[in-house]
Amino acid sequence: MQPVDMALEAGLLVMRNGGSTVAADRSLTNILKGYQKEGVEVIWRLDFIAATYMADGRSSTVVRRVGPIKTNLVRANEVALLGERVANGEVPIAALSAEVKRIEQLPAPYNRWVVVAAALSTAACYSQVLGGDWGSLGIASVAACVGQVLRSLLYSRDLSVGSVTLLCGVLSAMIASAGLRLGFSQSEPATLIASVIYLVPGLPLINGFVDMISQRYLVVGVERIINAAFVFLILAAALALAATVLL
Amino acid sequence: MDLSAIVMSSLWAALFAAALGVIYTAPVRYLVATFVCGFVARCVRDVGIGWGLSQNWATLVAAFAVVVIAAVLIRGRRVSPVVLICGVLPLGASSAMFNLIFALMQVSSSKGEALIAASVALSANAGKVFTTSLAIAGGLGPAMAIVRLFRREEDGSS
Repeated sequence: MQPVDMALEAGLLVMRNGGSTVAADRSLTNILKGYQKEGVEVIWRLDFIAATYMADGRSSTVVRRVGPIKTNLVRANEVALLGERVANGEVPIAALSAEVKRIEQLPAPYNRWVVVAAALSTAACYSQVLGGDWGSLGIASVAACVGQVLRSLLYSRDLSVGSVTLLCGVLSAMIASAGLRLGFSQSEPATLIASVIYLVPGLPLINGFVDMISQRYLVVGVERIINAAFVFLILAAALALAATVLL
Repeated sequence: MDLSAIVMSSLWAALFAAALGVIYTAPVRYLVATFVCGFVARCVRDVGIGWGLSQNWATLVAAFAVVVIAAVLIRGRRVSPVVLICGVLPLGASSAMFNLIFALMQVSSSKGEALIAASVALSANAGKVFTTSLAIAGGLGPAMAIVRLFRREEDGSS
């Protein structure tokens, strides 16, 4: 594989696994540094990456599709570390392809049930952060737990982020609204918001801000923030629907 | 200033940050840092408000503190963004963001008095989301620049 292809592959791996564009570009640059390849210009977008370089006196451009973005920060982190090791000459170029393939195969660090327990905890804790009562904690926990189980099932069927968020948001908000209707808690806003907090797009939102603050990836940053705003809109619609039907 | 209430809310924020770290697939070695950052963020903000700072200034100071603590806890060249994300989210304007969208939905369908109330809620929540986000960015940005500067100097001297 050509140096530019290899570096693009590493950059794509960071983007596809929820890393920021800053991190992806740093990994790409480090790998090119390891190959001692200079003069590569890269354009970053959320849907594609294009790299232009000179080869045999002619300008060549390689374009790669980013595809669906999932979350596995262990992979993104491993690629960043690999890039630094390549730049420092600690990893031979010949071993790079195998290393990238190894990172691609790394599983998510937590299994489905650990993530369900984490969703339950985020909802429980956030209800308290917002000043909810104990009933609010219980309702939000159950709502988030059930919603996260559905979410993991839907993701395994390769559904889009928008539809998964809508379905899980409606389910969690319905459960929370039902709990409120039955009188288990008097803290309406805390219960409703905490029940869907596990779906909040924190990663794209912060990656978007990181990209924008760096001033070099303004377009990607804006794309990420618009995506996050869209997910927020879906969540708000799910909450409004549940509140209208059940409260 | 009720210290026990501040400690309790900081503990909830810390647990929230660590659990969020798991959802965002943060590597296991960063989970302690996310817990500590969540605690520090909420604690600094609440103490700041207790000392008479406005909510926005307290949020700015808290975001700054999160980066400094994360830099101390995480050895290596960079502060992992996921630790910062989980640390600052308890400071975030999530509730205001949801209220903003609710108000936006109501504005389109309300009339008379209800429309006025929805419009006021819309602008109030928009302002809250904007100033809180700005305060977080205002704390994170300079702190990250300072940490980067120190790390570069360390690299240069080693």
